[in-house]
Amino acid sequence: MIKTISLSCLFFSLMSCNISSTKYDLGTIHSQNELNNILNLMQKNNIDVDIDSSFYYDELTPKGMFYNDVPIQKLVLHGLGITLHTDTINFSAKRLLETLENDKGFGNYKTDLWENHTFQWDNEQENLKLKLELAKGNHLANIGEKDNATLEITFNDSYKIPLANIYKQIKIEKNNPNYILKINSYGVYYQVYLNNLRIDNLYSWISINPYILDKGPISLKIKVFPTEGNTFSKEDSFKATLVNETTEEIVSSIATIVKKGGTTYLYPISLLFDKKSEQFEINFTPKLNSYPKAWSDGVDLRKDKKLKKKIIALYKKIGEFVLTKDEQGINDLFYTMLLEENQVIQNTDYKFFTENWVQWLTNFKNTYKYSISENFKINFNTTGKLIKTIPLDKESMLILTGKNFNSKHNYYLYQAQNSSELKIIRQ
Amino acid sequence: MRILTYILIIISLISCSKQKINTQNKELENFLSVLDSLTIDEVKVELKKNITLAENFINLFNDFSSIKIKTYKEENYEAIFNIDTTNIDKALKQFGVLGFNQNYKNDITKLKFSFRNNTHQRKIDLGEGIKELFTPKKIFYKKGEVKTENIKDNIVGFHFSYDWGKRAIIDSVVIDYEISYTNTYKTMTLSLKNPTATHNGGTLELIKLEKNYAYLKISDTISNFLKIQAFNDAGKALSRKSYSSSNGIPIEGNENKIQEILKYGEKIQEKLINNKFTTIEALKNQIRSDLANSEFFDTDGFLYLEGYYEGNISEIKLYFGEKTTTKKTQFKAVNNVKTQHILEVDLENGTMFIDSLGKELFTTHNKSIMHLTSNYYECMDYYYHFNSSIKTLDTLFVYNLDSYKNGLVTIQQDSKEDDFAFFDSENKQLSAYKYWFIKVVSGQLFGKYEKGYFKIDSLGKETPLPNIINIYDAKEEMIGLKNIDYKLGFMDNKGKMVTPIIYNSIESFSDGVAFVKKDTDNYGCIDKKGKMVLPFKYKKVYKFIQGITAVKYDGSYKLINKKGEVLIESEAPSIIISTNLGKRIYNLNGKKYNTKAQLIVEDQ
Repeated sequence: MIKTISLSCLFFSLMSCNISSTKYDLGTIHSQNELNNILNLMQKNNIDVDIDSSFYYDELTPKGMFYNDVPIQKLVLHGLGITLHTDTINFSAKRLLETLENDKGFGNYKTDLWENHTFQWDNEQENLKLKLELAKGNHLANIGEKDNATLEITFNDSYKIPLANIYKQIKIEKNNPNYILKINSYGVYYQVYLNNLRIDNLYSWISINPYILDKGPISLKIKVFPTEGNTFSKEDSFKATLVNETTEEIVSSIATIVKKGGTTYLYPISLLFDKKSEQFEINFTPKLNSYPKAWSDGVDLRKDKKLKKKIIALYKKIGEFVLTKDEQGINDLFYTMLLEENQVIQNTDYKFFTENWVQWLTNFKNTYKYSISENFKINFNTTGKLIKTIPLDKESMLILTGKNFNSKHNYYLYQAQNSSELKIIRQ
Repeated sequence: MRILTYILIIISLISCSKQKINTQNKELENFLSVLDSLTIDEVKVELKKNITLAENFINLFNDFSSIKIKTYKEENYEAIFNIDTTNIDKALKQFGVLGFNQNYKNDITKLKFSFRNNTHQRKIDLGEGIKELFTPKKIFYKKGEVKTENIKDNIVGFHFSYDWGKRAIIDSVVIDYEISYTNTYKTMTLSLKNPTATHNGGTLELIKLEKNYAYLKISDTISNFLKIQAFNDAGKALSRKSYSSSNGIPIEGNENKIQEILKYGEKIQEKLINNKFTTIEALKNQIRSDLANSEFFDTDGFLYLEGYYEGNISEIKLYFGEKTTTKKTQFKAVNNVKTQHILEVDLENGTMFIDSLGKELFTTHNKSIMHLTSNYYECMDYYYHFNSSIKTLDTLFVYNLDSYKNGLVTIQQDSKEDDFAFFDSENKQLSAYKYWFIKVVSGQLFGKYEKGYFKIDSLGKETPLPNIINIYDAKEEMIGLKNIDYKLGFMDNKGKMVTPIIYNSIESFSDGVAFVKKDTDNYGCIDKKGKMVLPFKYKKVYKFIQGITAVKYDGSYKLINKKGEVLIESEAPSIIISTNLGKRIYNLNGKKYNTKAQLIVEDQ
């Protein structure tokens, strides 16, 4: 095994004899910039010693390091942040846990395969993971004077663009239903329609809230087809349930019982195996606390003769924004959609919005051309205000392409009363 | 990294090298001359960065050194030293189709050699006791020049590129290939009872032998032995756990020598930090003064060896060659790229493109560009095509470009789900975007779309393979095909069918033949022309290796040759086949046979 002994570590130990009164409060570090400030201070006090924070692994051991008054023996710089190691004296591990709980509340507690105890705190600025290694016994109550702890701190990139910060705008409403269509199936594929508009579904959990504009009643229709052959086989099965995820109540069992040969089966359910397709439909009345504006003030697009051109123009606009790395342009195109979609499901997870923005930055970085479908079918909802296009000549309406990179885009669109342009409203 | 190299040079002098240092001052001055290109500040930075890495290296070395002297309950063995000359004649003929890839680093040409017509072909491994020597004799440059002087030390590398002189396109090189092997060798045995011996005027001394550990001292004049092995008291050769050798400095008792060198490096570093040296010359003088009389250099005329083995040592044997035979041949290796109009030269921060006369055409800055095939190139972010008529590099804004050895490429336009289309070296589209995927089997291109599999030639022309549903690599430049009736047959790598598609089962080719099943449950054997060489009578078969294999028929296993002649008859209803050092061993009813069907005597 290769033991890594950092030279800088040796030098810090030597130098630190003269600066033992210096205090580096590592508890104040919440970003790379704040870390750099502390490193600059360390370097100022340790002339002739280089600190390479770009190096993947560097250990620093100057005296005078603390995390909220808990002495820290060693600071390790790594690619994404730092790891702090306590000493094995004076209940340092216990004290570090206590100070973190005082500051940040109770962390997410786990024990790993080696029975180490870990506590985790995540926020938009940083992720903290405290690992305790107990010298005596595995029970947390045995934490003692000579136990040590490591605190791994990784800094999250933060972005000022509003699209990456929508989570701050989400209003939490108590008891707001979160309608989810849960599907279990085997040997079949299915299409889901809300008020006659097909909902794209990549997963077997389909969030319904983003498509509900009023109290309804809402028509929820599911068409089921065999994956292989013209008719269902005996093994094919399908089950669909509409649930309120907030209360975990079943709103409607849409397809729970299907008869096969005169016998009624519960899940897994075999479909009538001589049929070519099956259709289930319910009408339900949602009870959301509030309803998004969405496409409610849109115009009926069914007779718009310029609709095809408008659709192409919108996707061209996205493509150009990506090629010119126009962050504000992308923000403006997608902000309303992302805010509404996540307000109705009360999503305040900062990671979701950060990752979504990072994906756009990735698109900016990698894309060198875009292509748009010119041969597509337009689907309308029952009012004609909301449209979704089905490309017939490409995999998607818009494809962003780079070297071994592609990103596909196809959105639900509408046109507001006071506008002549289409807007993106759902994805 | 340079300073690390210096430290490792010192370490190598005392611990790793078996080459004797003749003139220590010369070595020291060579070492010091490398410092001339650095400033004091650069030395500071380099030394700090790399001492850590040197420490890691030494810790690794320490870990090896810390292997304990102990008694083994379960020993591990290796084959007793033997020089196998069976592949020598085959090796002498192996380079008939040798090629090389040429690239440049600044003004220097670099060549890497490879077999041209089969990507899987590897240079034959001749095993221990046999030496190969490649000596370049002539270099033929594209512009007509032929060079014969000062080229014999150019390295013929098969895994890495090596320097081959000035920047200019090379058409071909002529190389002498020499194999020398020991016909007879003398074995010198050392044990606790007989710890010393003499050989050819030199001495051998077993200084220490304890359990799994042996420590020897050998005169430098006889340190060119072929092999050293340790044996247990039953005469079995023990596997070696670790091994180290040193010129000049006895190893045992000097384990801390390397750490001393590191300490010396740190001492120099401390002086550098404290600005004790104002010039490189002052630094060199200090090192010169410190090391001139050091023990880092060989002075006593002995080689010291120590080894830890995976068993309990009874005696040590050293094998010294006595009579050597040399066989020679000559071959010509040709440039793998014939149609290329330009060649790229790697620069520190970009790529320069030159024409066939070595003249610069253009340079891409901040971008390293690599050649793919014919006129196609790529960097990290883009694909390129070189337009040979106007001599420009055009960016290809496509999702993916796959290149093939025949100069063709396939392109997917927008995304990974797109179909593939073929393009020629001039970026002319040869096919529609229709292929779902492309297979390269034994160098032959195949494309598949809804109409089935097609063989694609070097012009992109497709030939249908009716009813074929799968294509396999059948090894040794042969291709296996399966049709919709699940019948199988073979095609060669030129696309010619060598058998009809009639077999129920096929095995891969080995030693030029392949076992197949047809109408019955018995295997027969065919050659590469599809001719039956062994009848359908074998119940179980293994592929031929070195001309023999094991087959089962009439209720028992036999060893046969490719004529079907039984070399070893047995009544064994089952067989154990194992390998030792890459060579097959057949175990029939407890009797072991080697690849020459010779009985292996275990306690030999």
